[in-house]
Amino acid sequence: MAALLIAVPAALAVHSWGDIQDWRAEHVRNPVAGAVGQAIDYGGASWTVSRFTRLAGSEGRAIVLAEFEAVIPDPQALAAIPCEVRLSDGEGREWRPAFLSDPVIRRTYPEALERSLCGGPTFAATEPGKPAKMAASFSIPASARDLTLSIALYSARPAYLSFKEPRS
Amino acid sequence: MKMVRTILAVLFAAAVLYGMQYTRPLYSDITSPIVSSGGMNERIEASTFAVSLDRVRVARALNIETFGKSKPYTSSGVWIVAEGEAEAKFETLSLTSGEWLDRNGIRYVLTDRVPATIEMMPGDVYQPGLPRRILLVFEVPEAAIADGTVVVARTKLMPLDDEIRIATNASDQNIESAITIRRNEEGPPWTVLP
Repeated sequence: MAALLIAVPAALAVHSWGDIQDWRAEHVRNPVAGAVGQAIDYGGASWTVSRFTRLAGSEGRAIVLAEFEAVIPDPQALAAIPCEVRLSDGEGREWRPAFLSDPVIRRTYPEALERSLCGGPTFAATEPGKPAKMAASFSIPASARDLTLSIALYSARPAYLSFKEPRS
Repeated sequence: MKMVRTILAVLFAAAVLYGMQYTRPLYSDITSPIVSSGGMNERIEASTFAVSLDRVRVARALNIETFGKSKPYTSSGVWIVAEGEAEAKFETLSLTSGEWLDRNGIRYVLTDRVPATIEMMPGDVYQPGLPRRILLVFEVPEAAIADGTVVVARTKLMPLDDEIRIATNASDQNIESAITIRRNEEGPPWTVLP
């Protein structure tokens, strides 16, 4: 009976160890903090967020536009790596990039529409040493505060890039 | 005496095993969605999203107006048009499963005949803090109207995920001849005409 007290938890631990490892590997938890305009090395590239700004949208919304570049010495090495861009606020809410850009971006920063989405195909289409130009926009409630932009390459998790919204 | 005890113990074990076999929940019960229920005009909260319904109407025909052209949709049953609001609570998500559950437990999925139901299609996202209007259109037999429940979930297949059930006030005594849904080019994507 006493042996069971050890054997059962041990069996459970052995059985779920792989799942726990997978879960830990997939969850971003090590922020690499940066500031807008500052280049940071992450995941085999040098990253710079060039714009992180909030625009007034319609119906009580705010539109957040983030523009960023990655200079990648070996773009083919990242050609199959997915990338996740998220925006979170002080209340722990998290937004994924909007699929279609808001009209306010078309009016205010039309050049942002020429930028690509973060991910392998964009990296692969870039020449070594030249910046891959990317952008993401988010539709959020205007009342959201303490915004943080995060960029995670699947190959570099659990580390991720983290940028606080600049004070305007 | 020892023999009697052994026989009793075996009989007891057999009874317990028999009982367990017949009360064992099905796999589909163990992995069934976590249901939050409520009624009309009430915000029902699940752990990841919230839904409310403010209007449910029943009609024999639908007219869909797009770019000034009206297209009628008839049915051998009836059309149920439900309107309400949905909001993601903590992270961006899609709500791709809507069902009409009748009082006998039969489920009818959203119609795919009418393009107006596109608001519930995959790829349409709900952002935290930004509630959006939703439109659900079902085509059901007349017998399925009374005491029907609208069921909304993120997907049909996710075990142990949230599901919201809203008991409606739909009645088979109050069937309109037709309802017109107008697709808008600006502002809200549609208007259900009175």
